[in-house]
Amino acid sequence: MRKTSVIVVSILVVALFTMPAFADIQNSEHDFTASSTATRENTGGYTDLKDNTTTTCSPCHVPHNASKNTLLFQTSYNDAETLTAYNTGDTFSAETKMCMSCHDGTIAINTSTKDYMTADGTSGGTKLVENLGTSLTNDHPVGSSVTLPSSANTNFNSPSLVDAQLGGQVTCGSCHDPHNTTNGSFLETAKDGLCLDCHNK
Amino acid sequence: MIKAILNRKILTYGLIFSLVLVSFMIVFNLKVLAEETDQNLDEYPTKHIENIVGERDDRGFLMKLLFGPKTTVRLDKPFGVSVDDKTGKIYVADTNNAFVMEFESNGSYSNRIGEHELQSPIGVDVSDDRIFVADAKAGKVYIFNKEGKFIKDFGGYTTEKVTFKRPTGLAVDNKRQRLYVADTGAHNIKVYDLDGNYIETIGKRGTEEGEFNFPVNIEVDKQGKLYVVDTINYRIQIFDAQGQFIREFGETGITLGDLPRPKGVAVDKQGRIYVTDAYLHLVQVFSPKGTPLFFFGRPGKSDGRFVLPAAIDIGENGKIYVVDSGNHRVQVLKLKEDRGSNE
Repeated sequence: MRKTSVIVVSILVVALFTMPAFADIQNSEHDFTASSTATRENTGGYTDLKDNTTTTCSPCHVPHNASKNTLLFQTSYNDAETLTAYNTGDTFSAETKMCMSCHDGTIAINTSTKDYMTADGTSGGTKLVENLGTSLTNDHPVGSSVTLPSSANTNFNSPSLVDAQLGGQVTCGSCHDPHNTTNGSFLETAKDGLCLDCHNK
Repeated sequence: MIKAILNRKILTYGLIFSLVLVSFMIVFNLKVLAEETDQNLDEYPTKHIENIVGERDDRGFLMKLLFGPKTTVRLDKPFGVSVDDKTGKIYVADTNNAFVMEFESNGSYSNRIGEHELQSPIGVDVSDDRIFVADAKAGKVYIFNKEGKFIKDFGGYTTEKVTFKRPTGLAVDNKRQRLYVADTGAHNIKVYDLDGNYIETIGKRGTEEGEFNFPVNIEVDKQGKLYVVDTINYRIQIFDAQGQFIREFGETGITLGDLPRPKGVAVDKQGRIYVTDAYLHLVQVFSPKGTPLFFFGRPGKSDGRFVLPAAIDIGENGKIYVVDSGNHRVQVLKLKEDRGSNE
């Protein structure tokens, strides 16, 4: 009888080790499926983007195997040839392309008609983000790597409120924080100070 | 003595059983491993036929020969595409130009459709005699005849009624006289007849079978099967002509075979399913059962590469039309050789 027990236990142990390793993440903090029993705390000041918590983070983040340190959802190959950015030769960051993969008019808007601004920061020009798309030559520069402020263009301040050049270039994230709903339009800071943080006219 | 024999028998049977079980587990694990390894898809060779980039001017033959055709109005932010197999004409919905561009089968420009009606056209498809356009901004579906003349629209926002929250992709089942509209904002598929009379709604928001989370595009095959790009559920869902769920495939991830941001779907003659992905910036091809077969394209500006690919359509002649929205063009491609669906 004892031997039988040993055999049964051995079989179970062998079976356990040969089964595929799944279910580790079930009901953990990283399980955002509808059936998850995990409870999540509000992450101080940040509000969930979607009312459907099953996909709150997964559209943009991968908890494991991200190709860079930001845990953003990124492919390991890109950037060799990319979009038509504001300055010829500049490329869009992975973060900017992330935004555009939804802001294409389907899942989210790709246009806005609220404000006017020219490329050098003066008012009265092209509608700001009116044609927000992959060609940004007629919108606020995204993908530009201008130095702020520069001797060539004294229209700029040194920004203190916004992170104007994430990774060395202006990105969507220069003005927007995709987690922050306190300022409206997911802006980094209040509208009043946002433009003038970089522009001095 | 009997007890000893019994114990020996138990021991022997136990050993045989455990050996069989271990073998089974090893084989099972190898199968799982093989399926996982199958994600390393091959890049399939394609022949680049042409780029459709916009309207061209109407200069004489000699000028065109000397200087090449000159593009006047470029595709700016195209999303939808549909090829009319009867006429060979190609229809491209451009959200920023705010009209649908019609091209001849050779890629030359022929007509603007809905220039005075449309605000932000995203989805386009054709029936025998009509052109259907989904306008996300207006919240309407517009119907034009093949000459581009406006016939009617339906939907829109009124204080009493919101028909569509955000209509995007649409597909016509000519045989069954049905129009399917993906309402991305309402997370469902609305079904109409070809005169715009409401029939039914398929699905609601959720992650279960038959539920949707931001569906953005649709395809109908010859059998009337419906293929829905269920974008933020990272999958394709397939329904029969009665709207009953058949199967799903795809998941989020950063490797080939995953569908992190699927945007367009098309089905070829063999039933293979082509899915564009705006995060992987390429086209992946799946078997009718959803097994990954191969891919083509990768991020980039050159021919055969994509930036934010959107809708896709496949003609009877095998030509593949991919809206390469980030490069402001529609790429016309063909598979160089055909391996079949491997099933």
